[in-house]
Amino acid sequence: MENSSTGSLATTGLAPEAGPAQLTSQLRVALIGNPNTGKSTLFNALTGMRQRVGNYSGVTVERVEGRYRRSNGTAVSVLDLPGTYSLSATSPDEEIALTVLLGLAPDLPAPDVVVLVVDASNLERNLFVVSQILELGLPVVIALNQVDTAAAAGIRVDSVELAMQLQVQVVETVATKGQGIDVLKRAIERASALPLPERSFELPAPLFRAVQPVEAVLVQAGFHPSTAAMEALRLLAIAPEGHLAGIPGLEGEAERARTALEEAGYNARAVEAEVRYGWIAEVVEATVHRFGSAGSSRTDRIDAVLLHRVFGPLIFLLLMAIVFQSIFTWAEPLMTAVEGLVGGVGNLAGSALPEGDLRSLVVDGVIAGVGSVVIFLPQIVILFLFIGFLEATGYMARAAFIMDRFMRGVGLHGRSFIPMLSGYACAVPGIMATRTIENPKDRLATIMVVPLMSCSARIPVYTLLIGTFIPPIAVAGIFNLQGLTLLAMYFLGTAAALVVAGIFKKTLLKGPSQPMIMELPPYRLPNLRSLLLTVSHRAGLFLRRAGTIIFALTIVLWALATYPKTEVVADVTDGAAQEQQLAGSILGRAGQAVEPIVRPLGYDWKIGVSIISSFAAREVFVATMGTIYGVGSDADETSVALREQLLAETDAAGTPVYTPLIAVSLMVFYVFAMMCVSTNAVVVRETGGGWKGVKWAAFQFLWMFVLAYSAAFVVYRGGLLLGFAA
Amino acid sequence: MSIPWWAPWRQAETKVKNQCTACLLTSCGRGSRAAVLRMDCAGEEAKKLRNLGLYEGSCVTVLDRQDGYVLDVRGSRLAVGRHLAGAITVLPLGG
Repeated sequence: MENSSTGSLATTGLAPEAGPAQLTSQLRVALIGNPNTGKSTLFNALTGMRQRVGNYSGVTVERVEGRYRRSNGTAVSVLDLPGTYSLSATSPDEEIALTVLLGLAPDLPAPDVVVLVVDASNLERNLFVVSQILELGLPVVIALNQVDTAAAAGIRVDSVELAMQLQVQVVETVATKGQGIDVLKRAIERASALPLPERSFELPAPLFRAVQPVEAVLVQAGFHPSTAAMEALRLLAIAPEGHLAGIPGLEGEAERARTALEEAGYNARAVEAEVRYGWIAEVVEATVHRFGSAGSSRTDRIDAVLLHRVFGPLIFLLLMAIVFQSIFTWAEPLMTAVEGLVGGVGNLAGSALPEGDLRSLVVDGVIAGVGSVVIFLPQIVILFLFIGFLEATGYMARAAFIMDRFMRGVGLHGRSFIPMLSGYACAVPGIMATRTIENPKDRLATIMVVPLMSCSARIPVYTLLIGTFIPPIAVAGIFNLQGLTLLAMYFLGTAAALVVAGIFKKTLLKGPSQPMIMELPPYRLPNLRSLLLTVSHRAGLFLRRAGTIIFALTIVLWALATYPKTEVVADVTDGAAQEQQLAGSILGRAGQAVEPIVRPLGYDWKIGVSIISSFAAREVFVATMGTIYGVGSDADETSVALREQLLAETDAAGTPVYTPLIAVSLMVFYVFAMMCVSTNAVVVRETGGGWKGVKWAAFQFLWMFVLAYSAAFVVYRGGLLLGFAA
Repeated sequence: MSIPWWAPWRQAETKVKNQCTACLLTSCGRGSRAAVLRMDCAGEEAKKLRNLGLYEGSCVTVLDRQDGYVLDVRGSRLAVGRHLAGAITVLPLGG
């Protein structure tokens, strides 16, 4: 029991800032286990709706916390650590897990109890991380999860024998049905009072002798003896990085240990896996019983179709087509509803407030601005429902496997495909979905190009310009030139995304292309409750951003378009007054100031203003054009009035200002330009936050702008040279 | 190797016949079992594979091979890229 006292003392000593009251009343539980063990479902079953999703400081690993109440009324906080196969810190996720368990995370004390979630149908591989965690000197409870699917597959795990072998409590659970949760909660209560688990196998003599000095160095540096033993074994395969960096003499001793092992005929890098899996084999032998036929499993049979050389990619394409289609068709009525709701709120606020600047700020600024972002919520929810569903069934890993060959062509991993596809709906969820990409460089390259995929915010711009300037001519009998133009815009963005990603991977984010090592989990039916919880978290993240950053920006934009006030001649129409007012505002003057810059592209100051105002969001372009042409600020892409105005607009010499060529050049500009504050904000956060994130977001904005400008220039000037002037 | 990836008849690949000599994992057909002898991939990848139970001395079964490989490693399905599979030397076992 002396271990226990030193362990918890060290923990308390490390976190004095947490406040004594919190430490005494709250039990901190950390949930850890392999991916695909049903860990998150178990977490949801334990904590219900009381959850908080954030980030670990400085990294983009998602931090999910929840809590439940004990019978005596005190709270138990539960931290859902990212899924890990080992504590060897081969990915940011694993590194976080290790740091938290060791109590070294900056704002988190070490957990009081660790709940290890283990998949009963795959005990062998799951026990690797278990064997490492048992040596950390922390109270452990094993949740033997998915015993039902294991039984269905003909596998029974003797949990009593497992408890004996590991010397910790083992609770059988079926998280999807809420079975065993109460027993698990009782086991968590008891855990701290039980003897601490420790390594239950002995090292072969040469290995034991070799790691002794390494352990001594670690103990000297303040490590718990049991943790030191775990770290020493781990160090044989890795360089001392992270929390092990800078311990004097450590690397020297580790190198000596490696040499000694090689001389004794061991493979130093493989020896940890060898001894741990050796012990695991014995445990599995004693605890796992297989019955029934060992014929091909359900997963084998499904994979025979879904990973089939021919049908596999076809089914994948079909699935993606359905996802893509539904994002647009299913979301449509919902988006209309949101639009109506925003409009209703605007009218309500408009009638409640007196005429003047305040009303203008609330209605035209805040409600219209935030509303233009919230309108994408239905698409985001539908997209995340699909992604969550495919992830939970186990298909997503197969999709990455199938796409790997194609993505490898531009130096990316198969996992980059889904974020890029999501970008068609909205770059924000696409960038959020890059979290599944382990390699930081691949992840950055993907984040950099996701906004090139034509998102739904570009649709209003495309629709207005195509509807106004591209004639609906039939092409090759069945196609329509308008539709083909729209398709060309999508294709242009996609092709550019792939090419640019390839360029990034060869230059700035150069690195060996990440070979695929990926588990293909068994297929299973997703848990609806878990799926809905995940989706609501994502939606919440999106709404919170709309409520903060976008809210602030809309106020700024409104002020720029409103001040300084211009004296409007009394006898003009409302629309003309609005135009004069805008021309005199800071935004209007900025438009005139940038006219020399946009002139080479064939644009006048009015387009300049619209572009500037659409820095916040692309679809604002349409609303601004509406304001300028005096058809009211609630103009949309289908407004006949706006279209006629655009066609009728002539300069002093009587030639039309807007030609089809300018429309195409403008669309090309919007294909490439990064005009979306929400995306900027999410890029800042997902590329590391703080200054680092700001730099990446600024860099992305710049290169996309340069690309957009150059492409629009080439289209316009090239078009003129080819004689497409009119 | 000259059979295109989309050809259905590529499914029917023959197992490796010479079972007593070491070869690369890439020359093992569907359904063949092999013991891992050596891993010549980058340190990071080797470390990851070892933690997942694929290490020198362990056994794997090739469940599927397309551009990448699907392996049975200790009861779980592991997808590894072709490049990585080409860095793993194995000793094919019967069955």
